Amino acid sequence: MPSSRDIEADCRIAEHVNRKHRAEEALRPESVKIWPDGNISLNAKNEAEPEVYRRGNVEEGFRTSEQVFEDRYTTTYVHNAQMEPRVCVASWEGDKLTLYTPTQGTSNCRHDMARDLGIPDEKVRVICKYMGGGFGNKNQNQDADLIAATLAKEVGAPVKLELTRKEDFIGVHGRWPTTQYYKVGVNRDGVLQALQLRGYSGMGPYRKNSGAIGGVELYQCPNVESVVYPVYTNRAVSGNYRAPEFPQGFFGIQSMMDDVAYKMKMDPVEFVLKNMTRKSNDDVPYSNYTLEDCIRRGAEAFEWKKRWHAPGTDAGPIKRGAGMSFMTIRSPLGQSSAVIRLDSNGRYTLFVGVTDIGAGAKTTMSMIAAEALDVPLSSIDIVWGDTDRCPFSVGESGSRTTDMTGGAVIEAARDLKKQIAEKGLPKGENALIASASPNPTSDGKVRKAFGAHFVEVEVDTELGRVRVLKYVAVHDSGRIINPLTAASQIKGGATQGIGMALHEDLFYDRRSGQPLTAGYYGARVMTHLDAPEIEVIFIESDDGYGPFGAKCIGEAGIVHAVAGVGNAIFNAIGHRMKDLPISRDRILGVLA
Amino acid sequence: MKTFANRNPQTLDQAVKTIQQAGTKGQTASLVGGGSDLLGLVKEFIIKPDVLVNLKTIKGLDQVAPAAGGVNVGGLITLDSLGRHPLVRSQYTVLAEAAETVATPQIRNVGTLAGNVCQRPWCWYFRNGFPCLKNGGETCFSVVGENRFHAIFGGGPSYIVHPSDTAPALVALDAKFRVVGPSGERMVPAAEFFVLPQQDVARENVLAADEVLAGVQLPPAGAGGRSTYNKGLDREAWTHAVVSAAVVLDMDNEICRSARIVLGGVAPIPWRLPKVESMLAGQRITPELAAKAGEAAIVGAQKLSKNGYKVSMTKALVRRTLLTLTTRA
Repeated sequence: MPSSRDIEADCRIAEHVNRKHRAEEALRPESVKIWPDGNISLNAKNEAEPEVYRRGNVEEGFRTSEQVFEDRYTTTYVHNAQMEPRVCVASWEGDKLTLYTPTQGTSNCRHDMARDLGIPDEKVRVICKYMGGGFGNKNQNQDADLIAATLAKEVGAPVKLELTRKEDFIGVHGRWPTTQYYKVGVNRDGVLQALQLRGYSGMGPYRKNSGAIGGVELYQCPNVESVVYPVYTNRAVSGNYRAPEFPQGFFGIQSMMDDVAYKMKMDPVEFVLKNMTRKSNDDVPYSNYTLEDCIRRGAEAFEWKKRWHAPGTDAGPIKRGAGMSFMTIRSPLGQSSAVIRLDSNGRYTLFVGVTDIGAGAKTTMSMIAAEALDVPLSSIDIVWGDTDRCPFSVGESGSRTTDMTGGAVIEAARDLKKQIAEKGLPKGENALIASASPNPTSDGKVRKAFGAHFVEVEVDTELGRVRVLKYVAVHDSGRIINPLTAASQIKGGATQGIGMALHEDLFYDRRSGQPLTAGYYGARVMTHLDAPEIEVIFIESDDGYGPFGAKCIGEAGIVHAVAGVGNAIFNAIGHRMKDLPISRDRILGVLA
Repeated sequence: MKTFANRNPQTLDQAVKTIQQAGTKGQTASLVGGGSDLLGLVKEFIIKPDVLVNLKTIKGLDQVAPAAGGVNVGGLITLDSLGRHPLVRSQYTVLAEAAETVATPQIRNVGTLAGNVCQRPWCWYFRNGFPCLKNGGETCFSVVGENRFHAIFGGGPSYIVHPSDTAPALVALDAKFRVVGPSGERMVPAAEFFVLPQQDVARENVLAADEVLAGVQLPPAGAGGRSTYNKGLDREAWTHAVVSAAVVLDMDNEICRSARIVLGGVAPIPWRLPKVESMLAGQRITPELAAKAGEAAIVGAQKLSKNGYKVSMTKALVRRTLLTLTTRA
C-alpha cells in the first residue's frame, strides 16, 4: 500500500512535472521539494549530506600547480537490460512463505523479506534455480517479491507477479545519471598536484544505493577533494547496475585526464603511467600491484604507438582513433559458507547458496571443489539456489561469489579431507559431512583487481556512426578459475560499456515527465551485431589471498570500457565528447 | 490487452466481408499478417480491435510470380523470403536489400511485405500512448518535445516518419499496389498509396477500413537497371532507418538514363526527390555530380530542435549511395 507520504510526493511531482528533472537542478533553492526535507538524498545515517572525501589541501594544490584545468561531464540513466524482467511466485503454507524468484542472493533476499514482513528468517524459503540475468537489477530489490507475498497472504493462494519489459525499465532501477565537475592541477611535467570533483547523482524519488561517483581513487595525487551529492529527482529510481558507481565516474575522470594529457602535449599512456594509483588513497598498500603490467601489456598487444596519433589528424571522412582507459576495482574477502557431503558411492555433493545470473557460479563452485578435493569434476553434484537446502552465501553482487563462497568451498573441502584421513571413506548408509563459514581478511592490505582497455574506433564524420574496430582488454583478476566464463565476463562487460558510451539513454517528455524510450528498442541496447571482437588477456598474479589467488571479475570489464571508447572517439575526431551517450546526433552536432 | 475474436477467412473476399460485418455490429477490425507489430500495439492499448482478421489462412498470397514482363509479389510473403528470393535479389535488388534490413531475423521470419508497408509510426509519443494526433488527440508532442527521429520533410501537423524500409524501395521501383475492397480490386501507384498528415492526419496510406493490401506489382526490370537500399541505423540491428535511401538507376553503360531516389526515415511518407532525379537524367554520375545531388537532396529540409543532424546525414547518404551504385559492376 502506498503511504500518505508517497501519495503526497506523487501529487507534488504531478504539480511540477514541467520542471527540470536533472540532479543538479533539483538542488536549486527554487526547485520543488520531492520530499519534505529537501532534495539531498538521505545517507545511511539519515543525514542530508553529500558524500565527501578529502586528503591534503586542494586549494593549496591548485595554487602551486603550473596549470589548472576545469571541465564538466555528464552521464545518463541506463538500465541493466537483463533478459528476464522481474517475475516471482509467492506461496504461503501456514506461517511459512516460499518464494520462487530470480535473485542475486537467496540469503539476502530471505533476510530482507523476513525483515519487511516482520517474521523470522526461518519462516521464509527463497528458491532461485534458474534466472535470466540480473546485472545488479535483481540485487537489493525485493519490491516485487514483497508485493506478491503480501497479496498471496491476503488472498490465501499462491500469487505470481510478472513485470513487462517497460515496467521493468522504469519501475525497478538502472544506473544513476551524473553531472561531474572536475578541476585538475598539474606541474610542468604533467604530474598531478590537485584533483577536485563536485558531482551530482540522480537517485530518482528514493535512495536505493550510494549515488557515489568512483574515479578519484585511480590517481596518485597529494591533494584530493571529492564532494558528491546524491539527489532526489522526478525520474526513474536509480540503484545497482554492474559496478554501480564506476563506469559513469571512470568515464568522467578518465576523459578529463585524457584531455589534460592532450593539453599538456603528452601521450595518454605516458600520462597514466605517471599519475596512476600505486597505493590505495596514496596510503595503504595493495595486496599486490599489477596495474602497470596491465597497461604495458595492453599497449604492446594493441600496438598503441602505431594506432594512436595526434587527435583529429586522420584524413577522413571516416576517421580512425585510438583510446585507452584503466581501472582498479575492489576485490574484498569476506564471509560465506559451504557444505560438502561424501557418500559411500564416492559422490560428493556440494551445497552452496549461490544462484547463477549467467556468470557460471554453479560450474565455478564445482571446479573449485574438485580442485580442492583432488577429484574429477564429474564426481561433484551441486545443490544451489534454495535457502532451505543451502547454507548462507554472500550473493551474486559486488563480484564476490568466486572470492568469498569459493573460499568457503576450499575450507569445507579441507575439513572433509581431514575427516577422511581420520575416519576413512564412508561405507554403507554412512556419509561424511563437512562445512565451513570462513571470514578471511587480507591483513590490512587493500585487495584490488586491475585492468587496462585499448580501443580503436572508426567515426564516420558524415553519417555520425561509430564502429569499434579493435578492442584489447588486459585484466588481472588473480587466478582465473574458469577461463571461458571469465573471458565472457570481460567481453560482456565491455560490450555493455560500449552501449553505454554510444547508444543507451532514457528520454523523457519534458512537459509530462513521462519516459519515452523504456525497453530494448527505445534504449538502443547493444545487439550481437553491435558487439565487436574483444581480445581478452589475463595476467594471473597470485597475491596469496582468495581461493587459489582468485580476485573479482564480474564487474571488471565494464568499469573503464565507456572511458576507453570516449577517448578513442576524441582521438579520431579531435572533439572531446563530454556527454553520454556519444550518439550520432551529438557527433554530427559538434562536427557541423 | 483487450479481448478480441479471431477470424480465419479463406479468401480475400471473405476477409473484406468479415471486416464489413464487424463494422455493421459497431466493432473494429484489424488485419493480421505476421502480427509482429500488431500484437505490440494491442498489448499497449494503442489499438483496441474487437476482431482480428487473420490473412495467413488465405492461400497463395505469399508468392513471387512473373507476370506481364514484371513480377507480382503477394502481400503475405515474409520479409525473410522476400529478401532471399533469387528473382527479387537479381532484378529488384533495392527491395531485397530493404527487406533484409528490417528489424531482426525473428521479425523477418513472420513479418510480411504488406504489414511492413502498412506499419504504424514508431514515434515514441504515439507508441507510449500520448494523446497525439496519431492517437486521435490534438497535438504533435514532438514539435516542442523530443524529436531526434522526427521528420525533416513533409511534416505538419504531425511529424512522424514513415517507418517502412520496403515502402521507399517500392516507390523507387514504381510499383503498383493491388488493393482489394468491397467493390473489387484497384491498382494504386506506390507513390499515391501514402498519405501526408496534412492530407489526413489519422492515416499513413489510402487504404479504407475495409480494404486489404493484397500484393504489389513490379514493372519489368530493364537491362540497365541497378538498384540498392542504403539504411542508416542507430545500432547494427533492430532500429528503423534514421535516414535511408532507395535508389534505382537505369543505366546505358556509363550514362544514367533515368533515376528514382526515395528517402526513408525523413518524412511521414516515403520521400521522393524528383529534382535530384532530373539532375541525374542523361548524365554520367561523377563524384562531383553525386555531391551536387546530395546538396540538392536537402533543399527544403526543415529542422526541428533536435533532428538537424538528419539533414547532413541525408546529404552524405544520397551522395554515397549514388557512387556505390555507379561503381558497382
